[in-house]
Amino acid sequence: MLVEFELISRAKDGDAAAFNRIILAYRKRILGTIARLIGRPEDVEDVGQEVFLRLYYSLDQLRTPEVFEPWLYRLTVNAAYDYLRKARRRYESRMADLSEEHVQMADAAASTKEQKEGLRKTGIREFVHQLLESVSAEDRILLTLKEVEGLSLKQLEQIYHVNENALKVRLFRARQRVLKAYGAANPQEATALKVEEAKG
Amino acid sequence: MSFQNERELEGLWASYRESMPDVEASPEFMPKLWHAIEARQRSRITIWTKWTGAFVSVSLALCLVFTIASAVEDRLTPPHASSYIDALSEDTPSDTLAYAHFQPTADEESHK
Repeated sequence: MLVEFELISRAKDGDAAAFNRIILAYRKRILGTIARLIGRPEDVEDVGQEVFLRLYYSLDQLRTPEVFEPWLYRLTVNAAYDYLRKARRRYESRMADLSEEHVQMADAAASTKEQKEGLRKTGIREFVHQLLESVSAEDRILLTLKEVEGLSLKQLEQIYHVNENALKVRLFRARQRVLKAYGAANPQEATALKVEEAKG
Repeated sequence: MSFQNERELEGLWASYRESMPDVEASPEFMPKLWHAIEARQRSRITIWTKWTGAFVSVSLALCLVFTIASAVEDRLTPPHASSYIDALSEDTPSDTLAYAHFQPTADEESHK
């Protein structure tokens, strides 16, 4: 917990200063989570605003301060899910969609080591975002929380309000769908599969 | 879907985690948030005020309609000239008993 239980209780009772301190404590973590969930840096702050706005108006429904973090994660997940459903548009001009010539030109322009590293990281981000775009918003959020945020099954249980077995099934299915998309997006793998099929 | 792919994907998640930069909120984050909270509070109050106003108006209108209706009815109905007992006996005249097939009991017959 990043804040004391007592601070949460005060915020629940309508103390604006306490609420402000909670936001300041959780803002960075929540914005980071949103960035990984939605993959669009330009909209992260807007979704973050929505999360804290929902928190302000639903804090009185919080049963005990002990469940505050899963509660906040749940609000974050819901806001990210709403955003992803509304903005299901495809990436426009992104590195992953550029032609090989463009990538080579960008690579050549990046002369320093830092620039090349930055380019590599951008490439990874774009590829993962493209991969996650190919699955549903539910799968995307669940996998990001598990694989990228590193949340445990126990934590996911508290967020989703479902038992461990149901979560494992959902995770398995989501992984299978992403793996399928990965196989389709990875040309080398696709070629290998074709060779295997030809042999078969 | 090979194990190779699964392994690659696991590595990709880790690389992705590392590649994500820290997100810092802009200086306008808090003022914008409080502005949004206050705006929503105002809109909630406005909606509540509108509903309350509408409810009071409808109640007043209904009261007025019932008052007028009852006043009009009083004027149209002539005042009662007779007493309550008179009105009751007028309503149930004695010859109604004939319709009730009143039969004397066996005791009454034997007394005769």
